[in-house]
Amino acid sequence: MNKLHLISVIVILILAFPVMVLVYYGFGPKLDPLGYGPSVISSVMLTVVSSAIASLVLVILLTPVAYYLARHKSPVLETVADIPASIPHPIIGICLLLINSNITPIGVFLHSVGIDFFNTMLGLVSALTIISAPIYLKSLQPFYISMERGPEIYAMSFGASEFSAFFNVVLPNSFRGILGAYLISMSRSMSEFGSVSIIAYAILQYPFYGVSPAPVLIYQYYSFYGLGPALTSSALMVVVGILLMIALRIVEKQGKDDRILY
Amino acid sequence: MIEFSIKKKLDNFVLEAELADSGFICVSGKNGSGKTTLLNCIAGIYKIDSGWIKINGKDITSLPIYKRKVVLTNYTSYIPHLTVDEHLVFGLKFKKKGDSSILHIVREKLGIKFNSRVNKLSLGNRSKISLATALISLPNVILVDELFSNLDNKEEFMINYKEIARSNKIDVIYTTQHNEDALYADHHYVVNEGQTKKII
Repeated sequence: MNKLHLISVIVILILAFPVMVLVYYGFGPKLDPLGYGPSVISSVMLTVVSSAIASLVLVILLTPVAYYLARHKSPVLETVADIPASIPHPIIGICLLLINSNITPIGVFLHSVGIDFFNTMLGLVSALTIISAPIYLKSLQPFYISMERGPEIYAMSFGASEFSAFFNVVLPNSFRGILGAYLISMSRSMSEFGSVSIIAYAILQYPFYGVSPAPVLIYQYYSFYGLGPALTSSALMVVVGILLMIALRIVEKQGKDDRILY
Repeated sequence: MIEFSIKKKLDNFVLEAELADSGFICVSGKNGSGKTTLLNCIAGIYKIDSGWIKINGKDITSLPIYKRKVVLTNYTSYIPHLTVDEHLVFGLKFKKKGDSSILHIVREKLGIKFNSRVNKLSLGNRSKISLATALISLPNVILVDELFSNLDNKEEFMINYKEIARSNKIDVIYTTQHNEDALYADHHYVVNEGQTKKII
């Protein structure tokens, strides 16, 4: 066996070892019915749905931005876009609370039109969107950097502006790249604890009334009951995360096959 | 009529090119002589260090790519997700008055009788579609970066291409490594280490 391959396997197994132990005990000797009860299922559902929506928002808002940053040097914009990745995540929760509070004029305005972030789906999705934005950008930018520029230039020589070339030429050929970045940012959102524990500890809206996001619920279980139900519910979240990663690998594999044709 | 006098510094030499002609213009030269750079300068992809470029008397030196009315075609000039039918009229999408009057003439004379997704076509057929799309959009100038070399029926294709371009007052500059390709040209220039020399 190639030595580098051997080292890679060993290091990755060491990194994955704690999670493998957790899955073994969570579904095996320490299986606790509370850990896969209705509360946990609702919580996992809330986490998956809110993460999926947040990533969809990122696709709409940040796909043109990722393309722009891949084609133009803009250190200022890139630095600003990286801010959520470089600060402790509870700060994002506090930022959203501040913006939505009566301390700020914008908070007063938002309340006057009935927009509330605290313990709402909107607040949860907003926090997840901000947190996973740098991940989405960093995942999609290399796709656009490696994309052949010929078709865009060809379109522009017919009179298409850069904006028009993006929508008519680049975007229709970006499906795999966008889907890959979507899944990466969604998996990042699903693991978010810091900001959601502040802005959306428990959702107080239909259809998730009283439901906490999975990372918050797991922390609650650990705080109240110790390892027991926390282990099983954690193992369940690990399985959901692995399913998402498998989907990502499939997309990446198909993307590589497509690129040969492209 | 295309006229230019340009200077562009490259890594290993300086491209100094002058041209003032119309019609079907061949630019030949070896690999790395500066042919592609020359076309990229005319198309507006590269900024020139000094000089000027005029098309039909209008100075386009400082215009962006999309305002030059100059279509550049090379190996990568095709829209992968379109079918041949969609591709041929692609250039008209960005014009205020899209006129597809020469579509049928181009299809017939250039022998385009197939219709599938462009990225499923062979290199030769893809080159045909790329060149035909450029003609149908009726620009002032078409720049062809060695695409004629990929065609199996090169002679017939180039003669018909030249005829359609001439009847629609489109100037064509095509590059090639083979001097025999200049047989179809009205004018022939050779580029050698960045210097252009008019032969015909």
